[in-house]
Amino acid sequence: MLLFLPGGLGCPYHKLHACPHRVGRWINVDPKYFYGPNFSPYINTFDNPIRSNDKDGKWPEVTYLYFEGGIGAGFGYGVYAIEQTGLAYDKVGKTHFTMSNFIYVKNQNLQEGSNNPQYLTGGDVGLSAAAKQDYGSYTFLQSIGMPSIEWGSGLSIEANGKISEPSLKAAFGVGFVIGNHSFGVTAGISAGFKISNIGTEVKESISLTDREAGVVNDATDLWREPWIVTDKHYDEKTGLWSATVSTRNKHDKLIPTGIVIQSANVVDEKGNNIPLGIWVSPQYLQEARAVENKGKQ
Amino acid sequence: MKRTIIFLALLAIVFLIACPIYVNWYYADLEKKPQKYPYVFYSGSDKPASLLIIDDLDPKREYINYYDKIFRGDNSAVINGFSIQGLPQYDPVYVIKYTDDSILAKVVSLYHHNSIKLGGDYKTGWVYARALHDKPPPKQQ
Repeated sequence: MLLFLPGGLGCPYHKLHACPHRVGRWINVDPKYFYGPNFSPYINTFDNPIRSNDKDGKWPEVTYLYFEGGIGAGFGYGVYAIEQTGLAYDKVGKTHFTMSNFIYVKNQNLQEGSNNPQYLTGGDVGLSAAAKQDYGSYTFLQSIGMPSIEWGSGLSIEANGKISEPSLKAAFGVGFVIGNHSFGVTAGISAGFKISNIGTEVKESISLTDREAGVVNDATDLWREPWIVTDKHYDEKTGLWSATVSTRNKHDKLIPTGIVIQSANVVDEKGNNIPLGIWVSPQYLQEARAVENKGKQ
Repeated sequence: MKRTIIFLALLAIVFLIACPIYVNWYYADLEKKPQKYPYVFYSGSDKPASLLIIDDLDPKREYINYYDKIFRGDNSAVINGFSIQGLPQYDPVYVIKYTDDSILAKVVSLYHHNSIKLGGDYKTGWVYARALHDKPPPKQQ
């Protein structure tokens, strides 16, 4: 479906998505249309400019495509385990991630002063493929709750207290996940009904810009290029970890790409400086910061 | 078919009742375990660094080799074989048990990660036992 705008009013200026005012419609496809094969390559913000915004013509917000296996049950208190692996596409580039969590849920809503409530009501078990759109964030880092990026001590990131979003999930073969700033669809073998407010822990993620992701893609002859973090070492001066992104070819040979990444640590007011397996290239972080700042304005 | 549905429904009810009871007991029992502070000093640095934790004992050899080198003062040691998941330096962990050789300890961290969506408030795994201390590191200026 083409997006028609009233003649004369035109459409917003996009460097990557031309729209002559006289014509009043997009004349080229969205440069990242292939991330959404079910949508027309000519639409803007999924034809929903209220819910999403697309200031530069690129793919709006953060899109997750992943596989998920999980089980959870409880009523206030409960047991919850989940494993997710997949890709996230954002304004800056691409992220490979693995997330997991196994926790004993303790209803902290009942405790005074708790700032990280966790609850689980109902039960759910399943294996599924999922797609999720986070329309409240511009980048992967912002989406997982690291909205404030500071350059103070290298690439450290100040956590600013974003609380995990509540999610409501109902799944019988095909299900829906509804969050505060996100929605998604899952399909697979699953059954149950769950209302939860539990953050999923990033086990490892690697975020690169589109250009860097292209370098890794060119270095391998595999269909889905593996991103492997190699040569991790600690820099005692900055208190951060550095590493190199490598990939593999069909013969299982390790290929270093030369792209350097650094850990994005969480630093709190007590002095804790904790690596959580989140890797970013300096270029990705710089561009992510610019995009997030632009989004705040 | 009818019996199966009744059985599954009963199982779900038992599960929903048993989980909260077990979790309550688990947290109460955890608080009785000894508390330690996990941190490590790299050679030439007086900044306490986060101690890395492994989820299971699969990469035990790589993990021990790495920290053996660090404790010998070799800062050029690199990691290939496990991911970097760290523990907070100034918040204690509960020690559950040790491996037979006492080189690794199984710990539980209830650190909140300042409410961000990364770790909830529960983390368990194995750490290098020599890097567990009775007291927190001195505060950095």
